[in-house]
Amino acid sequence: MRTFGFGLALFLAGLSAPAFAHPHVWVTAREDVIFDNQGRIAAIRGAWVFDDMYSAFATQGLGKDGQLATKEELAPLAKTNVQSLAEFDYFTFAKLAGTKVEFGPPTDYSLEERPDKLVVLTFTLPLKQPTNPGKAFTFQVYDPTYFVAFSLDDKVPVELIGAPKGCSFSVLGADPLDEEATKKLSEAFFANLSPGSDFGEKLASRVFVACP
Amino acid sequence: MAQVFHHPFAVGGDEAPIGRVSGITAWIIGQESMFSLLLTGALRSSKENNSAYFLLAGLSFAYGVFHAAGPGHGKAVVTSYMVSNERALRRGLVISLLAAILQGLVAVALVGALAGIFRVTAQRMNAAASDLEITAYCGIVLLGIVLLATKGAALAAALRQTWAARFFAGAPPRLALPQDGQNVFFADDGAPNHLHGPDCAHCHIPDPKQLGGDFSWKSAAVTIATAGARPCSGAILILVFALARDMFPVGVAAVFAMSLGTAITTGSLATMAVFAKKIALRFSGRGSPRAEIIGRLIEVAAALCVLLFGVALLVASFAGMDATNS
Repeated sequence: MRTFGFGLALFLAGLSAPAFAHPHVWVTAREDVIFDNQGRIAAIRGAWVFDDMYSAFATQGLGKDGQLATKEELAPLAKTNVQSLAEFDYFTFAKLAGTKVEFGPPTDYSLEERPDKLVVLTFTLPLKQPTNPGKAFTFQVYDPTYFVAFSLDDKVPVELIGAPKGCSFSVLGADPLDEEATKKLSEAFFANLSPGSDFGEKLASRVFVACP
Repeated sequence: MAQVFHHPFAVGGDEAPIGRVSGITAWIIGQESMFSLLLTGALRSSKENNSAYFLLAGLSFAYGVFHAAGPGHGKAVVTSYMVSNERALRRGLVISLLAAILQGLVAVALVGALAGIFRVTAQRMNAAASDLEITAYCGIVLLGIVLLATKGAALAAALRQTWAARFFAGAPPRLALPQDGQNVFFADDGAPNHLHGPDCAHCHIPDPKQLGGDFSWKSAAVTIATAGARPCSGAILILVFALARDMFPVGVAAVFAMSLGTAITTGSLATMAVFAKKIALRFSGRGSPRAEIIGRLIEVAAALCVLLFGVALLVASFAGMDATNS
């Protein structure tokens, strides 16, 4: 009955393996694709609106006498966020014709509290090499650890800024974890994901940018 | 450890990443996510609607059950401790309950004092939570060392007895010392079916019941403290949000309902672990030297799990700190 002991040891090993989280933070993102004057994609600017709970967490202790927290007050947190984001590829995963696109450190970033008390993180992520999108520039925004659930903004998910004539974008994939939609979320949804699926990635919409 | 760096939007400490999952794990995450959403929804509406309070409590409880079903360090520590040290189930359940209540208390104290009274910022709160986390991890390492030393000694003693018995089994009779009042060592063939009556003169494997008596409230207290010291992100978010909406007591009630749910799951896991160990011992022949050694081996393995687990968490959290400081 040694096998039983081994089984027990495996059971314990399984217990100690870090394996679980579910979204605690909800972000509604808007991703602008910025072109340079040669018609190449130069940067992606993200504006991430956090849910009311994380916003309350981020602004605690800030904002005097019921005022909104100022950009200056939020600057240290913005710095921490962006520095840690570097270790996670800024949760922004872009591909050009199937090859990973590298980003440099953000050229600017800020965190602010909107009048509706939601906190927005805005940052501009330059491509290491500005690139002509051609027909196959795509990107996704998601947290691989799935602590944060991202969804693209319903109304304006993406805007192409300074794009040459004829460029367009499309967004593929529903936003199953949009906060309203998630109320209908059931275990069936998760159970139906194929084995080995990576939640964050699986649930992320994909943005396609194409230029003539 | 998979997570080396601190998460950019960490709330309190880092939560474990989910990575690749399927089957029952996916189902549990589905339940967790659903209850998490329902719970935060109920919290949002409970300001306007008093009847939402009971709903909130129920949802918090259910969320606690599912949230604890996933492997987190609290459950792992309590369960390993139970396998390594505990024979009395009721005591294990008390330990699970106290650890869960402590976890709720820590979250309430952390948010109540830091956010409610001192009005600190998010980073200060994360730093405080991180200190708590590191203290808890040190506690796990300490617990692992103590358990390993105690259980290692017990295993060594059991092995010595058996080896000695085997070694002397084929030896000439002169090595066998008859009962002389002082020396009670006697040759033994080591057969598991060898009968040891109460008047049996030769060497006894120590009675497991006596060894089971080495329960110490100190190690139990360390287990409770280390398993409960780390507040979970969900609890912190709920409390901070409730505080911002001037309904802190509602948040506190929700967090304690969550603790109760957590206690039920941790308690069940601990129960399962203890039963698994009991069954393993029964199959290997209760009271036989072999069962004694197998039992001791399981305990040492569980103690080693506690130690390695503590070291891994500690290393990961320091690696994470370096990454954020650089």
